[in-house]
Amino acid sequence: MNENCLAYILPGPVELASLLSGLPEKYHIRECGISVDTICYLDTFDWRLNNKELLCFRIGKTSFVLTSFAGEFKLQEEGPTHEKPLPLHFSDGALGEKLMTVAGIRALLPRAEITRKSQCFQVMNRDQKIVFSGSLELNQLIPPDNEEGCQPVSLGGSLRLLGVRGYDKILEKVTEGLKLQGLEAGYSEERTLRLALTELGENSHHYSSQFSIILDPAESVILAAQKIFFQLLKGMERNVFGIIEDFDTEFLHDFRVALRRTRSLLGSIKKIVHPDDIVRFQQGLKDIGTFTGPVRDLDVYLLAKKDYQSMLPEGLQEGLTLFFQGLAKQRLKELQRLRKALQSRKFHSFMAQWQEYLENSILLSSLISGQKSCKEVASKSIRKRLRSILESGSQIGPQSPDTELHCLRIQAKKLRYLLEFYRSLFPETEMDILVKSLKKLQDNLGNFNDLSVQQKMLGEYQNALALKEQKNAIKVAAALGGLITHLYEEQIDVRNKFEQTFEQFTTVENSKLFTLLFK
Amino acid sequence: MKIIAIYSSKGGVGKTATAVNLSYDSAHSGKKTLLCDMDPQGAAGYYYRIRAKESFNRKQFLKGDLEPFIRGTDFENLDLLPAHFSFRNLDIALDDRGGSAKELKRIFAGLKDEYDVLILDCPPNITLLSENIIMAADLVVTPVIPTTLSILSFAQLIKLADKLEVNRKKLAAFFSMVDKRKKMHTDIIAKFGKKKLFLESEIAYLADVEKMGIYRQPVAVSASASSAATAYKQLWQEVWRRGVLS
Repeated sequence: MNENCLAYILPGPVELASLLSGLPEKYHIRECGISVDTICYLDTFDWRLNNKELLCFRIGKTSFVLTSFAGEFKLQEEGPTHEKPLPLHFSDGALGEKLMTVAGIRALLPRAEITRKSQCFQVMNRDQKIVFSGSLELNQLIPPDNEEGCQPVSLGGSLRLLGVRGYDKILEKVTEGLKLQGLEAGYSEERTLRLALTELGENSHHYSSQFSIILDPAESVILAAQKIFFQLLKGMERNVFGIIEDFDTEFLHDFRVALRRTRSLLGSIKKIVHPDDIVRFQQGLKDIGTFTGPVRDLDVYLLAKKDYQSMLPEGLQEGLTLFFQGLAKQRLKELQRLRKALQSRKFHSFMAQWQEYLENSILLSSLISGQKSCKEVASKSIRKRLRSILESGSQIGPQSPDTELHCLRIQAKKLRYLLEFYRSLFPETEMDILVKSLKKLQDNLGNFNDLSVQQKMLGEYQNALALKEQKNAIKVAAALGGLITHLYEEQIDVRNKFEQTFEQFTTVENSKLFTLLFK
Repeated sequence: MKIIAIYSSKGGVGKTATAVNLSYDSAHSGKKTLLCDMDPQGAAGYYYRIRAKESFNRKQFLKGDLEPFIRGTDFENLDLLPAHFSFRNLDIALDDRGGSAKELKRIFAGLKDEYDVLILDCPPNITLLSENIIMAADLVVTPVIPTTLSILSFAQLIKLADKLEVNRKKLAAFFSMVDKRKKMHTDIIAKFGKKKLFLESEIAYLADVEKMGIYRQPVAVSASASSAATAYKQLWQEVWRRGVLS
C-alpha cells in the first residue's frame, strides 16, 4: 500500500487540518485515533550502534526497532523483557543477528526515553479510497529517574506521510502546500535522539574503549604523563558503575585495561618522578588489579562457553554444563566481593589520592629528566623496550621453557602500551604498520599464555572436585580432562607457530621503520 | 510469480468475488499480490474503490507498460491493475497482433520480480483471450455453480485446454454459490465433487458475498468473522497449494 514515506520536522504542536489546508474539496481527512507510546533509545556504553550509524529503540516493553540513520533498512521484532538487554537475549531473527554483529557482548543501555503521542489519519477520495495516510507525532523527553520534579521537555515532532501507489498527484499537491508553510522534510529518528541527548547534556562521543590522546612533541614528558594518567583515570572511573551494576563484562575488562596501562606507564617513568611516589601508587594499583581479577578470570571462561562446547563430544557435554553452572555461581560470589571492594572507603580513598596527586603533586615531584621533551623520552623508551624484545625473542628456541615466552609476552605488552601512549608523536601510517605487526606477535604470545592459564585453572578445579567428592564430580572431571587435552594440543600448535610469527615481526622493513621513527 | 486466473466462459458464477477475496487472502498471508482486472466492466476495481488512470487503455496494456497504471489498494501487499472499457475489444486486438496465444504471458513477464502472485479476474468468454489466459496462467481456477450449464462451461474449458495441449493439472474448479437446500446442487456436487479437478473448498450462496457490492471490501474485511470469510480463506489455501504444485 505505501510506496513512499515522507517525514516533516514539526517545531511543536500544530493542527492537522491547518497542515493539510491545501487539500482539494473532493478529499477528506479521516482521523484514526490517538496513541501514546514510550520510546527508549538504546546503545552500548561505547556507542557501537551510533558509530555504525545505526539506531535501536524499544517501543513499549518488548517491541524493538533497529534502523540505519539514513533509513535504508529497518528491522522490527519482538525482543526480550530485560531493561538493558544483551544481544544474546534476542531470538535468532535478523534484528538479533545484526545486534550481535555490531554490539557483540555489550549490553544495550537506555540512552534517552521519550513519549510519543501519535495521531493517525487517512486521506480519502470520493470513492472512500485511501489516497495517502499518515501520522502527526509529538515527542517529549522523559527526565531521568534521578531528576524528580523535572517537567517533560518538548522535542518537537513530525508529520509522516505514506503515499499510495498510483495516487502521486494528490501527495505532490499536499507536499507543495507544506513547503509553502515552511515545513522541512527530513525528520529522522536520529534527529529526535540527538535533541534528547542535547537536553540530557550527553553526546555520543563521550566514551570509547580505544585509548587515544594527542600530545605535543615539545612538551615535557612529565606533562605528557600527567595527561595520559588523567585519561586512564577517567577511563577507570567511568566503568565503575557498570561493573557494580553488572550490565556487561566489558566494563570490568575496560577498567582493567586502563589499570594495566596506568601501572605500565608508572613503571616506565621511574627516573622521572620521585621513586617513593611510584612505590606508593604501584602498590595501590596492584591491589585493585588483585581484587578485580577473579571476576574477570571467570568472565573469560564463561564468554568462551561455546568454544569449550565445540571442543568436546556429546558424551562429555553434561559434565561441561555442570562445570559452567558452577562457574556462574562462583562468579556471583566473586562479583559480590568485587562490588564491596569498589564501594569501599579504601578504594575511594586511593582513587581520590591518585587524582589529587595527578592534579597537584606529580609536576612538583618531577625529577630533572621529567623536563625532557616527551618525544625524546618516548623514542628512547620504545627503542629500549624493542631492543629487549628482539634480544629475548631471538633466544627462544623449540626447547626454551614456557616462562621465557611469558616474559616476552609482558615485554611486548609494555611496548604496545608505549606505542599507544605516544602514537600522536609519530607519523600515523607507519605507527599503524608497527602496531599491526606487534599485535600479531602479541596474539601468538597471548594465546599461548591463555591456553597455559586455562589448563592450570581447569586442573586445579579438577583437583578440588576430587577433594570435595561432590555429586556429578566424575562427569565434570571427565569433561575437564577432555578440555585439558584439547587445550594442550592447541597450545603445542600455537607454540610451533611462535618462531615464524617472531620472524614476521623482525622483518627488515619493520627494523627500518623502528630505526626511522625512534632514532 | 505464480499467475492464477479466475476464469469461466459463463457469466455470473462469482469470478470477481473470487478474485477479490482470493487476492486479499493472498496479500494477507504475506505474499506481494497484484490483482489484474481484465473484465471491461471493472467490477474488481469497483470493489477495491479504484478507478483506472485516465491515460490507461488497451494499447498501454498490450504494450506491457503496466507499471505506471498499477494502483495500491487500502491493504498491505495488495495492488490492483484496473480494467479499462477498451478491454472489451482485447480479443480483436490480440488477433491483430498475430493471434498468438502467448501474448499475455509476454505482457505479464515484466511483473515477475515485483510480485509473488498475480491474480487475473477474467471476462466471461471463450475466445483468443481465453487461450492467452490459459497459456499465461500457472493455474486456471473456475467457479462452477452446481448446475448443468455451469458444468458444461467447465467441460468446454477442459476441451480448450486439451486443444492447446495444456496439462489438465493446470485447471481447478470449485463449487460456487452453493445452495444445499437445492437438490440439483447436492446431486451435482455428489456426482462431480470427487473428481480430481475439483477442489474440496466450496463457496456457499451467502448474503455477505452479495453485500460486497455495498461495502466495497473483501468479505474478510467487511465481515471478518463470517463463514464467507472463512470459506474464501480455505479456498485460497487450497488454490495456493495447487498453484505451487501445478
